[in-house]
Amino acid sequence: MSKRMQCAVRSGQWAVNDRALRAARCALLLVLLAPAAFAQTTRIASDFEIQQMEKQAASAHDFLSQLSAHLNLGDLRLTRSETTVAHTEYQKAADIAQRERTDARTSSDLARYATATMYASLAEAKLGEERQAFALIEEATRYASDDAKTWNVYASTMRVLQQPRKAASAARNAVTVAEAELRRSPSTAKRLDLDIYRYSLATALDDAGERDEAQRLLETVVASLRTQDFDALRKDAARRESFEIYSTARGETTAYLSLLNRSQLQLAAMYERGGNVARARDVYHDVLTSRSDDATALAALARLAGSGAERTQSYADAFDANPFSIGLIRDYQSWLSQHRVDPNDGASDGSIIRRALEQMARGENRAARSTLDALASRFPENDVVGYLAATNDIALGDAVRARSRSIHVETLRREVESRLASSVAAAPAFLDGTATSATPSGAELRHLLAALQQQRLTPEEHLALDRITLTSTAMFDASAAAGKPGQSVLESGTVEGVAFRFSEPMAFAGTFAAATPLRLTYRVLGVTEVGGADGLLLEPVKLEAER
Amino acid sequence: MNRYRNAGSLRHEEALLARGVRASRPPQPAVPRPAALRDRECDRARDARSRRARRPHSVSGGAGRRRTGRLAAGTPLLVLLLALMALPLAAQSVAVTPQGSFVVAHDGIVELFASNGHDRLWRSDGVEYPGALVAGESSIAVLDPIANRAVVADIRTGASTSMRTGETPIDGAFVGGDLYLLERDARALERIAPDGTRASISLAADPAFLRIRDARLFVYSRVAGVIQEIATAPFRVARTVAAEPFASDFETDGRTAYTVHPRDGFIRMVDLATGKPAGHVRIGAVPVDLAFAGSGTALSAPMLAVADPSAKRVWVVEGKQSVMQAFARGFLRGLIGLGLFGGRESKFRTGVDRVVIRGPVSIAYDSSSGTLYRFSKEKIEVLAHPVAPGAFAVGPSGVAWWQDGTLVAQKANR
Repeated sequence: MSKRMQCAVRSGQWAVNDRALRAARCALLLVLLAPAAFAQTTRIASDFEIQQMEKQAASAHDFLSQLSAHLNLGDLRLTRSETTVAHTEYQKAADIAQRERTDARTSSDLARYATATMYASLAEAKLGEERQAFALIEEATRYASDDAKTWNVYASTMRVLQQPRKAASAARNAVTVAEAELRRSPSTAKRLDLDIYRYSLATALDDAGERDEAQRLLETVVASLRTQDFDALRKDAARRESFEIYSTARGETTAYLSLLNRSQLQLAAMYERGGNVARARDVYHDVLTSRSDDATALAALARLAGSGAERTQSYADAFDANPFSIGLIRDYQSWLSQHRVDPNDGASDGSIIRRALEQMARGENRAARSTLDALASRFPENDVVGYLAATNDIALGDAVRARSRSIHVETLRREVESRLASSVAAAPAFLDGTATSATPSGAELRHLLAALQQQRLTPEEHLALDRITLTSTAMFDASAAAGKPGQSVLESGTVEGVAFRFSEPMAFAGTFAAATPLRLTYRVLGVTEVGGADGLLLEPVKLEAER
Repeated sequence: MNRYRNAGSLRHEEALLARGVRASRPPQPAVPRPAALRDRECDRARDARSRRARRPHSVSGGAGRRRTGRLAAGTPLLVLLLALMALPLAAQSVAVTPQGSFVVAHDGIVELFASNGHDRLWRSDGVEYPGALVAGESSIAVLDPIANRAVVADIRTGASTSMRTGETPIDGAFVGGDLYLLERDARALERIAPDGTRASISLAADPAFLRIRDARLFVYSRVAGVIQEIATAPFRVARTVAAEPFASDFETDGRTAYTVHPRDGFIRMVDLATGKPAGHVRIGAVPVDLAFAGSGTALSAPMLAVADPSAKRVWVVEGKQSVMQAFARGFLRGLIGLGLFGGRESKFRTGVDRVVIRGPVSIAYDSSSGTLYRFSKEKIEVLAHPVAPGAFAVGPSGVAWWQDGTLVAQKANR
């Protein structure tokens, strides 16, 4: 998942009013009816939320209902890689907020003006308008620096703009203001508010690399949400069978459920990154107890599965929950690069995406094109489908078709363009002769990678590649594994800007630091996945300090 | 009681409705009156407001004189201004050097213009998003609060140095050749010497305003609610004084600190010598910005101009008087705060939220529409529209603003 997507998914703005509660009660019928209606076909996990928000956008007329509907729709569409639709929703939210600003200022209602201004800022941030968003949120805080929610929206805006330290500072202000408010007049609503702001602070700190404080805060939030202070909200959620998760939550119960979901996911991800797999799995399972089709938790459990069977099932569940998560797709591609799976003949969208990925992994690119074209006709706005179809086209040598695919996510588009550029490359010159060693340039290694990806090497070139040892300056990534004293364990890195990895972590005699230029002599075994992208699979021969 | 609630939070609004309190307060009618900043004045002001609210009130000032109460919507100019309200304005900054020349930062460059506003003296590399422009005797600094960068340029030659700063540099000041940067989200004040040597001190939460008086630096931290006086040699927090938090502006004359609070409509004072509160007064409907309109003398209090976008006015009030000043002006008058400057408020076509006064030039600005006004006791005129926030400055030679890629200057004495 891209940084932008993560920000959008995680950005937390929470709001409640009595109108929202009334709307939630109206929506209760749909909550009860929806599972039966959707039971006919496999649904994507966010279908229900999208349906609810579209209904809210169509029927509600007040500013905050309209705004939250479009912000949520944008966020939900973004999680499904429907960038163009998401952009349209954010633009609608921005227009609504700007109109509200104008109206409020005309009528000298500075409270409304401040509110509209801060939401205009958030919408502009989601549209990628950094300067406008910054100017607007600064304007809002002039009028409402005593309002914790304004600081929380400030923090969310900065997270969307990938400014984690600014976000953390604003979130600290929100927490400070909310703690004082709670001391003055304790209530469940204010406790919930405070936990929301602590969650915001934790996510910003995590982004900023301040993991210890972030983890402590998240543990505090999750523990707090499980106290009896929130019994009434839990009972209300159970009575109403509520399960919806929104980034802009309306109604205390929805805010509670959304916060519990997001804070647990964030905490579990931190445990996972810290190597505490058991605790991470426990928390991901906790997420699934309140939302059994949570796509993020299911994807994580697939990633962390102990057995092949468990992993296969978890991947199936995760793809059914959100077939279009690029993070999940990369995880699955990585798994497929090292494991063979039985062909699946499921009919859900998740099964179809998995089938396409499996076909691509097996080199059945023509079958994959058929699978992906069928998906593209049903999801023409989906960037991930376009991206997969384009990469499959490149594998088929069809650059024209690949260029025609619609991809709006910049990272994905750049990756396709890069592959297209590499696809025209011939095999590098050092495979032409009978040399047994060479010092390739970065461009030659990229040509080699492209040729291997497209299986364009001739049998003679394959023989030459088996014979030749190459020497390059390598920069290694830090390895999670520790070696014995006097040894360095290394597994992956880059040579001349080309990603590589070994088949497993290798222990080298001597002390070699990561991120330091080292002289590596190696053989090329093939292509592998390194950090979600293609790289060279190498067999190390010798590692020395750079001369 | 809160007079001004932020309707941004639905949760917040719900709590208010549950208590039968309106989520937002209707704008207060404009109340032209003199005011001195004293505790007792608070009650008087409240009484006066309630009395005046029941009757039509006259408005002084040229444009405002033709209207009563709230500005009628639908006039052609107003429609034009509001239609342009949502236009994004690129970040541009203008400042005046002590020598009276104008510095402009825009589009990744910095330019210095002569005091006539026409002759460009030099052009140099700037920052991507220019925020505050700080002018010293021999250098200027342009700050980028998004990218955390500063460019320091020599005023004489334009030779510039780019540097990284702490998180969110929002203001700065030159003292004795050293540049002091207020880095809000780092909660720090950093000192950068001409030779590049750097030092930093920690500040309280949300340090939002930096002011300099007589080579002394004062920082007001909005969320913490403190004023910190910073000594420059040695570089340290000399003392910390409690103040009301959440002000939208802060000014000081070195003796008294003034903060303005839009939520409850108060201006509050702190005696910096004693560190004690020195009174407060309610002013206008939603006062947002402060400026000294007159520095005061041995016999008179300083004058404060207060921008109030809700009332579409700039109020002029007296600041705190010393006992000696009060005595000299008549003990009774000083004690109860009856000033000599009644009726000096002005009404604008749109709600102004910034006010800058230098000598004979008084400027007000509406951030939402980008409208720049020049005003006096007798007259209000629109100078330009739209002008980006920060893209205007007032100096001894006059006012200048940056509009459509051009610096426009108007002399102080037209």
